Amino acid sequence: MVSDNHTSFLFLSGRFFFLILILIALFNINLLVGSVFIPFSELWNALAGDGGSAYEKIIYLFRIPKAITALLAGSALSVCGLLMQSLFRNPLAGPSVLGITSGSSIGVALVLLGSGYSASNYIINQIDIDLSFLIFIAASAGAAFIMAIILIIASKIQDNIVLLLVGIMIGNITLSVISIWQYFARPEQIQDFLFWTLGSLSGVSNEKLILMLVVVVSLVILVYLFSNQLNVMLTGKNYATSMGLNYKTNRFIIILFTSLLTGVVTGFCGPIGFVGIAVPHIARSVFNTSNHKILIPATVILGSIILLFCDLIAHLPGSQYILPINAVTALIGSPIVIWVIIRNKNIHKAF
Amino acid sequence: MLELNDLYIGYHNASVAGPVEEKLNKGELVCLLGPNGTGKSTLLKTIAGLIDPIEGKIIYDGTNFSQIKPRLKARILSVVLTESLVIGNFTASEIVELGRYPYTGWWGGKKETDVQIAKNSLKQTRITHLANKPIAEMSDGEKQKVMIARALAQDTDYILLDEPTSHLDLPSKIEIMTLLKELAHNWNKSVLVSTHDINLAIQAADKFWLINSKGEFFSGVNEDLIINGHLNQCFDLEEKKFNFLSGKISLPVQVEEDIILKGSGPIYSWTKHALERIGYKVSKKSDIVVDVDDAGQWIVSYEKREEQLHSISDLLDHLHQVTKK
Repeated sequence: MVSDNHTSFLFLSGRFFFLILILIALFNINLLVGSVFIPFSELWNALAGDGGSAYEKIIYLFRIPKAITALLAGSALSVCGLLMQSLFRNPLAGPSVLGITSGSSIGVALVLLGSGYSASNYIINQIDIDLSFLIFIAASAGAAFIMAIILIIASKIQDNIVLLLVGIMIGNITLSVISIWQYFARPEQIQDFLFWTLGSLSGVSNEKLILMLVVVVSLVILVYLFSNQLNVMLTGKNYATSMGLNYKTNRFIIILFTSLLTGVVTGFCGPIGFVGIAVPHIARSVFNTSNHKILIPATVILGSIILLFCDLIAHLPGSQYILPINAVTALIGSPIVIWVIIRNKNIHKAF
Repeated sequence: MLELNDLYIGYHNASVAGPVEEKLNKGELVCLLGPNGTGKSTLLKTIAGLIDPIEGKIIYDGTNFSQIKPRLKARILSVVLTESLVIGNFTASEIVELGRYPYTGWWGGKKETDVQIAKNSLKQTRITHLANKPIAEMSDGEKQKVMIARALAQDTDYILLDEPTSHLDLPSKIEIMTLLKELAHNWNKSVLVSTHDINLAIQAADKFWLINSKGEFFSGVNEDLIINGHLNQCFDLEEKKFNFLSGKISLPVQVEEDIILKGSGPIYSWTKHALERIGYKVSKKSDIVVDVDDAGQWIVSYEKREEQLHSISDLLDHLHQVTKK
């Protein structure tokens, strides 16, 4: 059909193959490297399951859940970024831009800061529910709450750029509400909340990991089923409508998917920035395309790679210290965005 | 047939133009003209169903056009808008294949016929060589042609275009107008195009739709609208600016003096052009006589003196000196 190098089957499968190799390598390195180095031979023994060595425990209890969390969070956030950028046709959009991450933060603040009040205290202490699971529920509810507000405004405002600005403003309002809240909270609570805002991939244990896995995998598959619609939406509301796309319905679905994905990741891992905005740009320049049928799997793989890599750096291999993941993603993500802009001279070309 | 029934158009319940009572026929190229801000784009978007009319209806073959399902509508009518594309990484053929959206399934899988129609659209707009070029690397004219090709791939009887020739150089303007004329006459499509190029529109269109600054709507065959003065009135053109015989709009020139010009051929007409540009009127009675010969020589006779000149530049300088203008 199209015989050009840039979109040929060989070009695509070659790049995907190469990226998957990097992903597998990084996943394995993440299992081996941390505050304790595990020899490669021990990895095989542990995975084969002979003997209950300390290494095996570390791999099964800590390293594998953390690596899978990185995989899920990285792909989910990157897909969110791609969806937002396509929906708003704005290369600087990301999951946090609509204020949805801030919405999650309100939910989390409600749990961590609100526990100072007797009623919340009662809930957390008496009900037999894992605190972080409660945080997840609160984060998703917070994301959904902001999403509902955004959707009401979106039904009134047709202009995507205006909607984007409204999203930023709602994010600001949310953050200032949290700041006021923090001002009146007890120091220990503030510390808990601050730790959450720094982000972490290691807090996701077995049942929670399975829940996250199910939610992220099913949503990403659903998003992929909308590739064709997303491609048409890239031409803008008027063109898309003129080609027979039901724009309002599709926009609602895209915003819904984004909110759920953002809520899940933010609730479990904290607000991880820059992955969502940076990865779609890397995917576009690696694959030279705007086609979502290629971009969605590309962002899934690249997002996983980036977050695994950030996590590797966050562990400062060989030391006992662990950097907050959010600091590392910003440190790596921002130069990537700048590099993409400079490389393409014009951000619209990158888009 | 697409009929506009007593249509009032505008935004936020404020009507900017109307009533529009017209129909679009297959095989016709209609040019929509009017000064800036009179609602040409609004009319096009209203017909396309992108904006709701303030009042009135659009009827397609007896049914209300707005009640037809989006996908079916997209098989009847396609648009080319003024908004710019931000999808730099799509190639021309990918964009054109998007035009097959109303014909393909959920996943957008393309059959051989879809691919063939997309290819033909590229061929018809003469941009086959751009098939694999990303949008970001294209000129404005090339992008415009890609969007027209995409509308063709949509395979609709009605095509609406909003100022497709603005931002283009003259040859590209002519090329696009020729293409639109071809679509109407050879492919029996109904083409409605808004434009500011009155000169080009007069030559290409089968029919004019006019909206004046008061929002009043007129339609008719180009020549009729010129003769009955509607075109002049629509643009507030005075007779001086609009040449009735050639149908051309020209810059206003203050005629200061008569001049006699003798000769023939292209050198004659360009000399006339230059003289008229600086304010002479070629007539039969004057003290100044300019004689043009085919060898590219100009002989000026004025007050019994004769001067031989070798370029229009020299001619104009000489006239300037002798008449002290």
